[in-house]
This record gives sequence, C-alpha cells and structure tokens, in this order.
Amino acid sequence: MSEPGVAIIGVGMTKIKEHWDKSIVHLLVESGLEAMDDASQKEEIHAENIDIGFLGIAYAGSVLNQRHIGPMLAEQVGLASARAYHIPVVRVESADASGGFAFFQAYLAIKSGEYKIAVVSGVEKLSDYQGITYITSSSLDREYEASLGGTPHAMAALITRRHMHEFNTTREQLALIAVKNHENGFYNPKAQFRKKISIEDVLDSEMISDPLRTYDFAPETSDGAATVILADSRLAKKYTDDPIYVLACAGASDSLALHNRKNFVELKSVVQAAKNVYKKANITPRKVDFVEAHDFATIYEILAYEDLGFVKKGKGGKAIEEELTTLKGEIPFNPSGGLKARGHPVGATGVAQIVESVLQLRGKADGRQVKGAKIGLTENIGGTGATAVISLLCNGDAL
Amino acid sequence: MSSSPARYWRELGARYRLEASKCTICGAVYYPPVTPCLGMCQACRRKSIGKMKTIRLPRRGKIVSYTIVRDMAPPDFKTPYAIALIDLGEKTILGRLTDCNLDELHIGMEVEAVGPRRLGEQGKDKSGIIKYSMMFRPISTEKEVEVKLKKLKD
Repeated sequence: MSEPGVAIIGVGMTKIKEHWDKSIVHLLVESGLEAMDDASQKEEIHAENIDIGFLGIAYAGSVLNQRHIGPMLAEQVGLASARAYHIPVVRVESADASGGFAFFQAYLAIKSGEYKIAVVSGVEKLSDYQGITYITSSSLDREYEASLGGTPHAMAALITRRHMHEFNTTREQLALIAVKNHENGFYNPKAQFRKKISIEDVLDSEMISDPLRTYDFAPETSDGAATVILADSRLAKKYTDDPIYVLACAGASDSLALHNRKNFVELKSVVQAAKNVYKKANITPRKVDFVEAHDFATIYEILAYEDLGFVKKGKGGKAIEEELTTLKGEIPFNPSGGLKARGHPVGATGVAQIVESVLQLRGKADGRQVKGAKIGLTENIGGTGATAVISLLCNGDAL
Repeated sequence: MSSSPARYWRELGARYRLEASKCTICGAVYYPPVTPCLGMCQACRRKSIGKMKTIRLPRRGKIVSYTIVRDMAPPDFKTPYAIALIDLGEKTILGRLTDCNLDELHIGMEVEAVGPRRLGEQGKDKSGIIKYSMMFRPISTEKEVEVKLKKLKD
C-alpha cells in the first residue's frame, strides 16, 4: 500500500461525564490543547500552523440557544484573533453523526490539496438542558415520527423487535453487547461509566421502550469534547514519528423516517458507506483489526456486525454470543466502551471514535489495547441511520 | 417556543385523512404526500412532475413492529403509549396506537385507523395549537369478541 495523503498527527479528548462546572467552550479548549500538545512530539505546533477548522455539534444550538458557534470557539483558542490569521471554522450538523461528518470534511479539505493542516473538534453539553428527549428527537422526522411520540429510543426498539422477529435474536444477546462495552469501558480512564455489569443488571434495569431497557442505551446526558489534528502526510513526519493514516472516509444517506425504508433491519446508509471505504482502501472487512461502532442502542451494534460485512444478515446476535467481538475476539468492537460506556456527547462522539482508534493504532490503549492492531474502522450514524459516516485508519505497519 | 399554525395546517391531509401521493408512472406511494404541484417521485424524478396523484391510504393494516414507550418520552407525552410500524398494503407508516390492551399487541396484529384523535397541546402552558392525528386500534375478530364477552359473563 502506498502512503495515504492524509494523516492524523494529534488527538485530545476530555473525560466524558456530566461536566456541571464547565461550559461548552471550556470543554473544547481542554480537548484542543491536549491535541495540540499531542501533535507537538517533534516540533511544537502553533495556532498559526492551522489552516481551517471543522466543528461537529448536533444539539448545542437548541440546548444553549446559541448558534454561530464556529467563530465563538475560534476566538477562544486564538484562531480568530490578531496573532493567528483569521481562519475559517465550519460547523457541521448531522445529528449523532455530526462529529464523524466534521472529520469527513476535514479529511476532504486536506485530501483536496487546498489546506495543509486542519483541526476537527466535536462537542456537546447535554447536561445544560432538562428533558433532552424533545431535542434529541429532532434527529428523527419531526412531523411524522417525533410528533407521534417517536423518540430515538422508541425507534431503536421498533428495529429491535423486528430483528428479534425475523432472526430470533434474543434479549440476552442484546444484553451481552452492553455487558461487553461496560467491560471495555472499565479500562478507559476517559469513559463516563467505568463499571462492569452483568446480564442480570441489563435485564433488571428499567424499561424505556419495550423491549429495550436503560442499560441498552447510551447515557442520556453526556458532556465532552474531542479534537483531532489532520495534516498532509508529507508534513506529518515533521510533527510526529508515528502518524496515523486515513485510508478512506465515506458518508451515505437513507430516508429520514424509518417507515420510508423497505427494510427495517438493515441500515442501507451503513452498507453503502462501508462498501465505499472498502473499495477506496482496496481491502475486505477481514483486514480490519477493530471497530469503533455506533452503539447508541444495543441493536445498533448488532446491525453494525452485519451491515459492515463481518457476519451475514441475521447472525449478529450469534456473533456476540460466540464472543467474536470481545477485546480478545476475532474482531473487537468498541474497545473504548462505545457510546454505552464511554458516553455519547452527541457531536463529539464521531471524533471520540477517531481518538480511540488513533490510540489503539499507536498501541497506547493500555488495558483495552487490541493486540497488534494495524487497521481500525469507525462507524458513526445519525438518528436511525438516515446518515452514516465511516472511516478506515491505519498505522505505518499496515503500509 | 411554538411553531406557526401554518406548519401544522399544511400537514392536515396526511394527519387527518391519511393522504399520500402515488406516482402514476411507476406506482410508488409516498406518505406524507409530496408537494402538490412540484412534487416528484423519488425514482422517476423530473419525469413525474405533474403526474403525482393524491390518494388515501387504506384504513386497515397489520403491525410490522411496535414498541411501548414507558420512559424517556418528550415532556408533553404521557407514558405509557404505543407506536407501531403499520403496513397499510400500499405503504408502511408510523402510527400511534389507541384503544388497545398494551399486553396484547403483537407483530401481525390487524389494526384500523380511527380518529383523528387528540395527540396533545403545543406549549408548556398548553395554550398553543391542539394537535390531532389519525391513530390505530386493533380490529377484534368475531371470535375474539365472543371470547371477551364470555369472560365478562363469567
């Protein structure tokens, strides 16, 4: 494989939790500074070196009643002030996939040759709002899903029941996804939940939307930010000896409303985006060493096993039962703990998946390290899969 | 924060009468209906402009999947309530279930449209638009009615 054109030279992330004492700007600066330090291994990188910024935010506009967040943040980190030149910052919104799509845009900006270094951040502060479901339901069709009482949780439940009906997927298999992700999250110092749980904990937790319970879902309120610095590969070695390369990145769409799809147990956007990245990188799923998947609900990880091409449609439940996707399994899923345990600060999630993948590919993921990982895949979806964005990353050993 | 009445009003055909659009070229059905004069079929695109016919969806259908929302509902929704993907033959839509025993819901259950029924009022003080929507209820077969009556007598 020849050297891909785009590399990641620095990553940073706040702890994911309810940050009562910190504002959205505070969180972003924290993750941004960590990424800048991380990118300064060989030579210090300065704000002046950055050409463009992308910011993934889904709900901050509604939660904080503040839009026009790009310049607000650029100003705080000195990217829109006198010393640095006044760089553009593009805000990207694609519901839960906002962070992944912001990364996608940053990738394209470098890939096109127009810019040499780009910064991409994702952030969300859900704890600043009470009764967040009204706002998160805006990732669905407001008029024909949310207005009838459809919530992201309820829509996941509709998919789950159908999957159970068509493929005999069991309640226990679904629970195992949450158990596995909590197990992994235990070893992630930045995860929101660092607590191992049992199948019984999941099955005894409160019913949210039949048949899914509290422990089937990512936490309702996660605050946090994540930042990644991308550079033209030819420049990357100036800042780091260990650049992580972006092999491919692709996005895809599907109908906004679930009922407008022909098939309720397959996310066509994921299937399409996966097909595109495998083709662009000229690899098969077999080459992938680990996946950071979008397990907003346990069912979505099962769908990911199938739609990303690791198992046949309908065999996702069996895959977790046979421990195919545990940390020591054939293809570990969500070594970070996933949305379930790491947390789901919506706009930051897609970027946090990249941060985790970079740590894994550098071999710096400590207790949750996937042994010998060379290629990682991130899957970030919006709503019920109306949007999907998938990235393939690799380290120097894969080239 | 409340939406303008127009936003609600222009959806009435779909909400109250289950109106949908049918492409007269390929037969595809869309719910809610496409814009009356400029709407297109997603498959036939430009060729279908002006050839989309407004139809009413059948009022009877079968449950494809359902869920009972017990928690994490938006602020103005009283739990529990049930929603379902309902196959109306020509089109599957998302519907709110009503007049039903939540424990008896199942995939394949036959339901019929009823209403429009009251969904709720807009705004925290409930002073805004009162929203209605067609809802769906189980169709009891004669046999089921017989069994229920017998139970009541016993």
